Amino acid sequence: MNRHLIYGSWKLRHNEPLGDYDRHLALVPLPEHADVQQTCTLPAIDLSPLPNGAVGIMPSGEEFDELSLPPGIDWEGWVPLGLVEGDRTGSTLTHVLYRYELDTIQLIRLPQSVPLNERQNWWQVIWNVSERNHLYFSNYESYYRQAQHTIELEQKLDLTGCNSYMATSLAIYTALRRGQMKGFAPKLGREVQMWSYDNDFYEILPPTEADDHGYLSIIHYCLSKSKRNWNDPLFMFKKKIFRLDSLERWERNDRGRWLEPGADRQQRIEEFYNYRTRALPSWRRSRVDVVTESLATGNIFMINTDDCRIDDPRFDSFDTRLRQCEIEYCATQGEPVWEKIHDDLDKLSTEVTTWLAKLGIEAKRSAYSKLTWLRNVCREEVS
Amino acid sequence: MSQRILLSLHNPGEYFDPTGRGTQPVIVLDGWLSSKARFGRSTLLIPAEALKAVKCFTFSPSEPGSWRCSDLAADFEINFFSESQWTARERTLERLATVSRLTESRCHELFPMTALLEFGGQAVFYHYLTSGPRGLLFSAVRRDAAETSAATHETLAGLIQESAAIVLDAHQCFNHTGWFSKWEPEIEMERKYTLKGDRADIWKLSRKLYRAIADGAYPRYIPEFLDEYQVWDFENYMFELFSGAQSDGYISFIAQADGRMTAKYKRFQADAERRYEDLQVNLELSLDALDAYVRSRFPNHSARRFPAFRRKKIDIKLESLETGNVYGIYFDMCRPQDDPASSLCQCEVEYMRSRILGPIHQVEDEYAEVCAMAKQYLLDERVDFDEGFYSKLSFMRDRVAAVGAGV
Repeated sequence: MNRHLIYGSWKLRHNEPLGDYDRHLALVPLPEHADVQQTCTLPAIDLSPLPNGAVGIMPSGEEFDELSLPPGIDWEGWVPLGLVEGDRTGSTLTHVLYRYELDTIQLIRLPQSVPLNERQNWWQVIWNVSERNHLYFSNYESYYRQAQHTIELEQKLDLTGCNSYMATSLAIYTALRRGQMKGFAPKLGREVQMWSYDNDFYEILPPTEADDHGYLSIIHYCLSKSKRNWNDPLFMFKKKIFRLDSLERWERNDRGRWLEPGADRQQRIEEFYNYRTRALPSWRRSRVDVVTESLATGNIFMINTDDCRIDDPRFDSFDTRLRQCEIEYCATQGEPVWEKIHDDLDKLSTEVTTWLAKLGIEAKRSAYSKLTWLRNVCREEVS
Repeated sequence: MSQRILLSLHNPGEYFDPTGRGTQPVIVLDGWLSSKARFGRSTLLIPAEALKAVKCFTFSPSEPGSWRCSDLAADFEINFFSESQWTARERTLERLATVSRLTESRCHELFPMTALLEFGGQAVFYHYLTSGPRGLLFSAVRRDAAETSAATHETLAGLIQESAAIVLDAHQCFNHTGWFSKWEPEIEMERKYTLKGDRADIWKLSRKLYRAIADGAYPRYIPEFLDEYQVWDFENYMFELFSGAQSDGYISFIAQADGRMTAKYKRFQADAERRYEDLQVNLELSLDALDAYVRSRFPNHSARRFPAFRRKKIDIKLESLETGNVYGIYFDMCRPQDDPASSLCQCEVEYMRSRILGPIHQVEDEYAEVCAMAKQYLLDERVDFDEGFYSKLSFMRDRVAAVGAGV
């Protein structure tokens, strides 16, 4: 099976009126190292001159090469429109362009491959496919679906021997980039995300109307790009409902909550969510997220390695610090299937655990929540 | 051209300890940035292969003066995004272990958290924000008058301690996207260059400009870090709103890939540079429900629904090293679905937001500068255009008036 990138005018992708040379195409052999799955990410390819093995296709279906290059061809307006698979029995369009940066091409698999018959019609087929799918594939990072909006799916790994969340995260990122975590790669763009924030933490007290158990939290950041001043007292409120530490928990985040200095925070969050609570110690979480994508399914996960410390000398010691690596489902590039997400989470957790062991870090799967951690720390202090 | 730099290395977990007791640098590097590095009074970007460390000062309380100085005289890689960067970084850390007499594992825990540069009569103290393929990004937390004598490793270590309150204030910004603020967030400030004739090719224009910005053709600006370039292609469903009141303008619905809608409400009485804008996303609205939604949201307005149009939009975003202000230069093609041969083709310049750990400033000055840059670029590319504020609402109104279309 031969695989080629098919190049052509951007106008074929975006329903623009076609000029004299906009129906010409070029087939460029796919680089040998390319990993073609749900997505395929490649370094950008220069078409001038045409790479070895590349061949142009005129609207008549005839071929042209570098020597017979039509004079009106302007590569500047050409894009990698998709990926063609072919053998003696015929060719199909399997992937289309999703992102085209200065240095990088990302293709995404079509829900169904499209047959390509006579070469003189290929440009028309590509036009039609682009037209049918433009809302999904021609809009920046829009082809994301969340399987469940309120369920957080997260595998926690308790770490022993991890002295730096940053160094661990950079090693995880590098392993992903090198393809050393089988089936997973860094998600293209914003692959590594830095965090350090304070938390005020409140356990929900019974009785509650719906028999809810869990916690409320005030997180000291505002992720809106539209806050008026850099240091506005804006916070994120979080409500997490669960009876026992578990893989799936109900979660809701409310961003951009204004709390003026000196506000009674506990009272404010209790009023906001209508619960009575018990305050647990405030703490700081410093964390790096490495964002990764399952190559086979397009499921996207974050591998979050953190360093959690209590902001109270009565409770803080080396032993009371919490160091975990959380693997959390974010979204799917494509249509999410809950069972496949669980499968991917399990596979990724195994890959990460194995990789951490190579770094000398023992990682034990658990569901150990921040609530349980703070409860335990307070219990030890009391005893 | 090169620029002297002092760079502090820390174990990030200790550095961010909530008690503040871990902010003492483990190492301060004294070295030089090559011309690959980009910096201004707000932002410092250290790309790969841009840092040469001359001396390494290791904090060592038992020694006189508390610091042990070693000659390093080596390329010092702090980036990690590619294989070559990672390999160079590993070599750097091995060398650092040798000269600092720290263990290799200790050196692997270290990461740059602050930097001090002196230029233009100012000493600028930067804090690390984030990393990406273009390098490590820092943002200024203090700008002081530069001393007559050059800063030393002790100056930087002292600044970190003195600036603890400022850094604590900024701590909420040390989170992914938490570093942004926006001047007049409810106002869209935007200038339009309406391209004339058939020669303009928005794809080629955008790619060439994007490459020029990335290659440093505009010295005060870099591509917006981690958010440089986006391509969009979607349907718009626009309603003109009128009541004779300040709330007149239009609401436009944008189809989302997940079947939901974004509603963009722009309030203006005449085409202008500054317009009120409100954006609501993820609305559960079908095409059939738009009229009812408009009636219910704007009960005191008359609404006129225009024919749908398809919008292709290519966004290039750039940020100022001097202020952290982010601007967009957008190439835009709108074609009514009932008459795709007619079109509105524009290059728009818009203020977006600011990445700054302090008050926002110079938004309008730099906006004028970016407008001038875009205008000159179009002139250089021999594109005919009208400069102004010609809106999509005016385009749809004019088109309806010309052909009698409309709903």
